[in-house]
Amino acid sequence: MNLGQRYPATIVWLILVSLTMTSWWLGTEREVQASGPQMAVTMGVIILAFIKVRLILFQFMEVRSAPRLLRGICDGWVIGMCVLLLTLIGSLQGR
Amino acid sequence: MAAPSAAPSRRQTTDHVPGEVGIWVFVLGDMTVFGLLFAAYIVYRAQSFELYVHSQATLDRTYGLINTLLLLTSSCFVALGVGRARQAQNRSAARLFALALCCGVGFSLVKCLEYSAKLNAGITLNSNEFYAFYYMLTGLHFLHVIIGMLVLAFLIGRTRRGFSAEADLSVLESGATYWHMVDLLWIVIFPLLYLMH
Repeated sequence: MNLGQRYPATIVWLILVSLTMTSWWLGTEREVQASGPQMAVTMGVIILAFIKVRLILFQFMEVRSAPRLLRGICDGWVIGMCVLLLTLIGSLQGR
Repeated sequence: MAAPSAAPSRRQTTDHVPGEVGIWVFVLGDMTVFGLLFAAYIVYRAQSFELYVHSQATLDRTYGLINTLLLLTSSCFVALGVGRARQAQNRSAARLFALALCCGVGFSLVKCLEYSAKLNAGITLNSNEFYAFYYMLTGLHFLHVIIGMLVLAFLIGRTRRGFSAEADLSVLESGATYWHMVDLLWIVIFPLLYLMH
């Protein structure tokens, strides 16, 4: 049993793999249906990526039971980075 | 900093820093550097959108997916291994770290396949701006993977010898934290380079 995890490692792995396959489906299958750039797909795969990042940080890396400062920094990084990238994508990518 | 020996309560506020504080300074710093590279990639991509989308289509997404699954699995093994080590099940822990190392080797093989396919097609770092980012981001990450595999090999050796003090477990956790970071970085690189369009 791991000190810092709410869920067993294998459950976390299952969730991560599911999110990966969802992202994969979004990024590949959806492409067939419409030609040209798709903002929804781009933002979707990025958001899914950062959900996975937070899962890895808080579960595998046991930030979940770490001191509040570390938890805050990690959450800050995840949210800040995600918002930064989405904002850049949204504002710069004209189409 | 010592972990409580009693079973954690549901709240699990152990306030335990996994590994040395120094590794977290390094990990967060490294993540931030990569984050800035990601932001730069998006900015440049917006300026030469057609070029990037066109070049991105030449990437092998299957290789990328396999690599993602390999790293996620390796992280799972490492997390399980740390758990076993905490329960003094050293042989089991060492075996799990070895499985994680195998995943790392698998990742490296796929990476070499991917790179050689590109290079054989004449696509290098200088081919265009997208490929410059591609080689730089994946290459920098691959370097981290190689270092990570050395760290895992070290963990296997340490685990086999057993832990006599709390400090040893801290070293173990530090190594595990580094490896998870390697996984975490790829989780962002994959959709950024291979999937978004």
